[in-house]
Amino acid sequence: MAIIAQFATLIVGIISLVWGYYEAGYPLIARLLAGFGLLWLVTQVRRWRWFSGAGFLITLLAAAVGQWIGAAIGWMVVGVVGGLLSWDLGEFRHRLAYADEDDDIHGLERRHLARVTIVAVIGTLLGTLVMVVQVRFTLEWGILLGIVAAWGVSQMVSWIKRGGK
Amino acid sequence: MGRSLLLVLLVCALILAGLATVNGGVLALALPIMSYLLLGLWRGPEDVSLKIERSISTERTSPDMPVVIQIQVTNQGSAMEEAIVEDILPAGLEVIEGSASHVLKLGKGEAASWTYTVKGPRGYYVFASIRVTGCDHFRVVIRKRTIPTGGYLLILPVVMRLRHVAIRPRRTRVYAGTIPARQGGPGVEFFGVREYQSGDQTRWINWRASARHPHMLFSNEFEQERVADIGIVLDGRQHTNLFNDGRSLFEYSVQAAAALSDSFLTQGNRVSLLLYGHYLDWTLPGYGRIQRERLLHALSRATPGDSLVFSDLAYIPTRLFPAHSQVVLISPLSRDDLGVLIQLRSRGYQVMVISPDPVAFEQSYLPLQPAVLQASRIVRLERDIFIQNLQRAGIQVLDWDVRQPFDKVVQSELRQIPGWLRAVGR
Repeated sequence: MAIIAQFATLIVGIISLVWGYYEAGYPLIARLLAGFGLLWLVTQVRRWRWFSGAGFLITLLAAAVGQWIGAAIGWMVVGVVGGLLSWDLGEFRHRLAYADEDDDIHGLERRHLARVTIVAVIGTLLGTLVMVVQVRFTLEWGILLGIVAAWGVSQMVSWIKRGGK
Repeated sequence: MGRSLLLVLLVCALILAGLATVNGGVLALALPIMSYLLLGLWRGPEDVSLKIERSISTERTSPDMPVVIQIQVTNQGSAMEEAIVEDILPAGLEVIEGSASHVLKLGKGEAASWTYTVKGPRGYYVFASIRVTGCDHFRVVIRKRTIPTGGYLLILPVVMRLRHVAIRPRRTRVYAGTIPARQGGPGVEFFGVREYQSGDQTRWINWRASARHPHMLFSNEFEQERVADIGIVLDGRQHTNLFNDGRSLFEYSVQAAAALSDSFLTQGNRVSLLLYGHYLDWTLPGYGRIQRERLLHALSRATPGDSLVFSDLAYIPTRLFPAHSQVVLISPLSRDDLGVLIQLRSRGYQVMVISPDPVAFEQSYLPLQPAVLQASRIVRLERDIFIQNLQRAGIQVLDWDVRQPFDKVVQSELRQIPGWLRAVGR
């Protein structure tokens, strides 16, 4: 179940990135991304665990660059969600290697996929929302966001320093 | 780098990139990751507080016998969406049924239990702890804890029952036993003739000797049988025991030590054990079943190893063995050991060497090529001369081809004291 979900999220994420780049007029990068997606798929079949993390970072970078060069935000957000969930499900599959046959593996998978679905729905909704609502990004709005981001980051850092407590 | 830290850094990088490029779309890319992080934080466990109990079906067993281990886990802390519980197995044990690690969902107050089966070679295995990793489904909040747990498993060496091992130390102890004491008195074996003393039984009177002396009576004297002090030295030096591809004679030496110690203790003797390898492991002398347990424990822990100090047998602490007692060395032997063993013998110890044959052992797995055969003939000659030298020095040597069962070899070679050893003064 987890492996199907992982491959599905990977394919959806890569296809949306490829489509976004193709639509924005960058067919070469689109083809490269398609090749990368294929490679990622092969590595997951061969259980190269480390590649998932690298794959997610590359999809995120591709989405950020795509957004910067004018690709549609919706496809890029879906690409990031696909990469993130594929990475997560790859790690989850690795954790399941510790499980015994008698463990409730189906239950674990079911609950994990439910949680993954929530993230996928939120991510896609946000992508749609961003596509629909085009708020003008002014300097004042940027300063406000910067202050909020700095506060958020400081909170995050202190939380990590406390060991996540 | 932890997952949560990586994700936080990525979110920060996207926010900074969005602000720097004044691009709301880049900021929007951070939103799915943030929702992922927040969901993980929301459901992450606060702490790992588990009560874990381990029970082992038996604390002592034989090599390669299955042992069932049961683990009972009770969550006394907050709920954990995923808990990986790994029983850290001591090196050497192999899981043959079930699994030592499990992935569970543990709600507050929930309990789970499972069993798995292990087997392993001779050894002393301590189950030190169980590692628990509790996390949310996205592994954003990870709580790790190693919970110390008790439990040990002793896999004892196989003990072969030996019928009788004949030894003849120069000195025995005062208690009655089965070892000839080189002293006249009550016993079974004829020892000599002496003048009749009041109290001697009439059936002891030697009528032939008495007939030759009309005015005197002579009685037969028998050899007293007593218990003896026996020190077993197990050679654990790596360079004498280990061969190509990790093959080792050490297990055979341990097997011999277990069988001999059991036999000597059954005969009522006082037995001690010295493991001579990368360190000295000395088991104090003692009698009976408790001593048998002590020796088996020591033998189950024994491993071969090398040390610069104990590279030859020169540092055997002879003071540990009572003067003129029996010393049994179990060793494949190396060229340098001759002088040390002769010295040991010259100090008055009755030395017996049980030597698993390294030449036959190595030849058994090498290809039968002319060069190998030629080399083995040369090494065999060297070993034969070495053993002859030991025997000339009054050392009893059992050259054991390990392809033969030890009890059969002992039965044929050590059932009786050799004639030369019965001679007075040897």
